[in-house]
Amino acid sequence: MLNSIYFALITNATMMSGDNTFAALGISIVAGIAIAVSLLAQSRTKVKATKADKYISARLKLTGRFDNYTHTTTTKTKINK
Amino acid sequence: MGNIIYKCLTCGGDLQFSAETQNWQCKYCDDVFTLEQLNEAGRNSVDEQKIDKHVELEGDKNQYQSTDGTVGKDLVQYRCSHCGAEIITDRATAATICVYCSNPIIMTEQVIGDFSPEYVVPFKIDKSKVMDSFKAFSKKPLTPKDFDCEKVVDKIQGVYIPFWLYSGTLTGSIRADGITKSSYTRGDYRITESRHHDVFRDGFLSFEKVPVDASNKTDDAAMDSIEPYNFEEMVPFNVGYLAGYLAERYDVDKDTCLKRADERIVNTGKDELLKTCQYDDIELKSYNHELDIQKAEYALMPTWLLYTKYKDKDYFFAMNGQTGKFIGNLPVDYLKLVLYSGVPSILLFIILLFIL
Repeated sequence: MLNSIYFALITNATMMSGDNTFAALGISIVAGIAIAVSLLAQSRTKVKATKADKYISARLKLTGRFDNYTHTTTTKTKINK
Repeated sequence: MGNIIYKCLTCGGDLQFSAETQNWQCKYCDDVFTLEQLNEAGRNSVDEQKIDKHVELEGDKNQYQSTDGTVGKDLVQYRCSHCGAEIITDRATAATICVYCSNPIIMTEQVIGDFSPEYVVPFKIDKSKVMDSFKAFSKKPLTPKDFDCEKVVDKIQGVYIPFWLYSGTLTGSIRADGITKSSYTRGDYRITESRHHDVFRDGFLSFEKVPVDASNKTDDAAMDSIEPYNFEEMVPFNVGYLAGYLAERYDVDKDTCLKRADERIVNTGKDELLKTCQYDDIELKSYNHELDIQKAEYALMPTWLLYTKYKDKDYFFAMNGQTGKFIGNLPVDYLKLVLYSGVPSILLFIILLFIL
């Protein structure tokens, strides 16, 4: 049912305007996904540990380091006015 | 060798370790004793059953169910010294509770010799607090209405889980491409300059007591998720701490468990080396490392575990018995998920149509 309402709204809106409708649609879909992910995260709290940062007893001591400049790359992007 | 029960020095009743008082309390007269008092009383406080060994079970072992709800293949039989009932456990069980008389029983042969833990973190959270926490924990927006936590919460059990605690030093080096970026406008163009650097870092860092659960039956991710434990409250192992709880002995050796600790330490070492590189972007080219484990200690950690079923699917919840951290994957009502995320999304879409 929700899907059909959504579909009707999108169809109407697309007919009424152009790019703005797609922007609104994109923003609302992203917001919906963000809400869903945040709700699911509250129900799923079991995660396999991949780090041991809580158990560092002596901080990192550097014994060697260098930062040698090698080259520069340049990118040009045309500005839309 | 058999099972032992700690006896009350006043009435001879069974003693249990109390998470609330951090002492031993009699189930019958409520008298409380410290570890020092029990040690002073010596053997008067301990009732060791006069059986030489557990009995190996013969025949169809699959008919028995172990404490975690799974069916064990390697089972042994003890006799409760209080009521005489037969207690069937799997080989890794170190402490249990008689299902007939609720008597706490410790299988001493599972906590001596190679299986003797060096340390134990005593329980600090008692069952009533666990039940309240689970009720609060299960009240999530997506939890189905018919998931009745009141019905299942009684099944929650206090279990000492065996852990290996690894301490050592990681030596590592990274080679990376470090990039600093700057942008400016020229005419109709946005120019971005990326300055690349050959970056090298070499160093070492130490880790202490990285925990890895040493039980095949427990869910590794769940045990990882209830970390951390406060190891400052860890004490030398004494079997008395097991009284009133279930306990497992390790059935995965320290060499096998080391792989999981190794992965975590190596990942953290890489992160720490990368943190020293101050660039807008960093692209790792190589990472070499060597882990030197100086010691692996065997300890028992307190957990509250709950296995339950909902609509024929298994669910497992765990709580850190020291800190109270609760974890688990709750069942999800997908209709609620669609409603709670879809309705705001549609409303936002309508509002945006008017604004844009």
